[in-house]
Amino acid sequence: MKRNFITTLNGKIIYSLLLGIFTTLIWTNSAYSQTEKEIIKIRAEVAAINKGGAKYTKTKKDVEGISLEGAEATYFYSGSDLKKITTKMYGETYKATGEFYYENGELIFAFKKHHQYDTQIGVGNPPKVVRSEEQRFYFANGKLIRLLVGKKELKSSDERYAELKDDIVDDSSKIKGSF
Amino acid sequence: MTISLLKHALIFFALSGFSVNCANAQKINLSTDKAVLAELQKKADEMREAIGTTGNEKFDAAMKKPLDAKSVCIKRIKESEKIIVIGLKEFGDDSFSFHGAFVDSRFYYSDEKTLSKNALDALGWQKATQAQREKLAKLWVEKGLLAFYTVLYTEDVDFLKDFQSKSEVTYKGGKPPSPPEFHPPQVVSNEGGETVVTLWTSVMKTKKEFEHHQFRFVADASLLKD
Repeated sequence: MKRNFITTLNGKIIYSLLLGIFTTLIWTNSAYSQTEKEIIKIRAEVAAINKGGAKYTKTKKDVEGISLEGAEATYFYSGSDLKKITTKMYGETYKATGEFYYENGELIFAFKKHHQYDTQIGVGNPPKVVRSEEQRFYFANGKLIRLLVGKKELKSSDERYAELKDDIVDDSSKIKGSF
Repeated sequence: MTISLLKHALIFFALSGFSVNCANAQKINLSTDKAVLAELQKKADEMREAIGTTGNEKFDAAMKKPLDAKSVCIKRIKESEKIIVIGLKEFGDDSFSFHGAFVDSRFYYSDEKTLSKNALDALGWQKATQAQREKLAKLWVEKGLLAFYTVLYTEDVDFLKDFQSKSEVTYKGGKPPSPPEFHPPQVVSNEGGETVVTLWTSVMKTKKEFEHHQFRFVADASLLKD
């Protein structure tokens, strides 16, 4: 009786362990596919939004509170559905452009071009751009699933990851809220 | 009874491994770029099928759009026909970014942890001496992971100028750090059994900009961190 119990217990443990390994293998494979699937979906959605651009209602507005030297946003609506916002932002030491794409009101993709000046504007010679950076943000269900800076994908452990993510989410919500 | 259970368990384990990799076990002929594109299209179609249609005409049309050959860059590594590096154009970019690679006809996305290990294994890592591994690691970084960057082998005339203009902005009022020293691609093996590749790349934006990269491979060829 005792032996049978041990055998059954051993069997259960072995099967559980193997099931765990099997599930992990499957999960590891599908996790990458899942992200890629979301990215394909986002790209298609962005392409669809851009294709419908001519039919959207366009509204241009100045936006306060996102950059010191001012910002201007153009809102693209399909009926009451916000599809896209393009922005120009001016800081004391930079200028930037942004494109924000929305699905059912949620940010799904953002593309930001940041140009850093060599000096502060209004001080001496006109500033020159010394560094340019392109940032691409892919969101699924409100979660950042991919962040590209230039050609490089930033991992969530990267020291800039959280800062860039917070900035873009903040910009999006302020610009959206200014309409 | 326990032995019998173990036997069953081992069969189960073997089958599990097989089922995970069976899709990749088939060798696909990727000897032409057309075949590579067709395989990439197949992968994209599988994903699209899984996503399904939404009823949104424009979205569904965008999903059905076939891969444009102009938006894909296929690079073959002459040192191994088992590896084919794939670049894609990102939104708003005219140049290519590393998307992944076929290794032994199985496609790995750029962020898959096993990509570098499988690529280096295909290059002969497991049987290589440490000196040979250093060469393989450098080869994989230059022609694989950074295939769409310009790797610098000699110092560019604008190298220090770029640093100075950046540091003037970043460290205004403070003490700027020492300027970086240029070095051609370097590989060292450290005491922990790691093979470390460091190099500089340049990229042309509004002006030339430079970036330093480091890649660490552990003894089994897995990439630790870049």
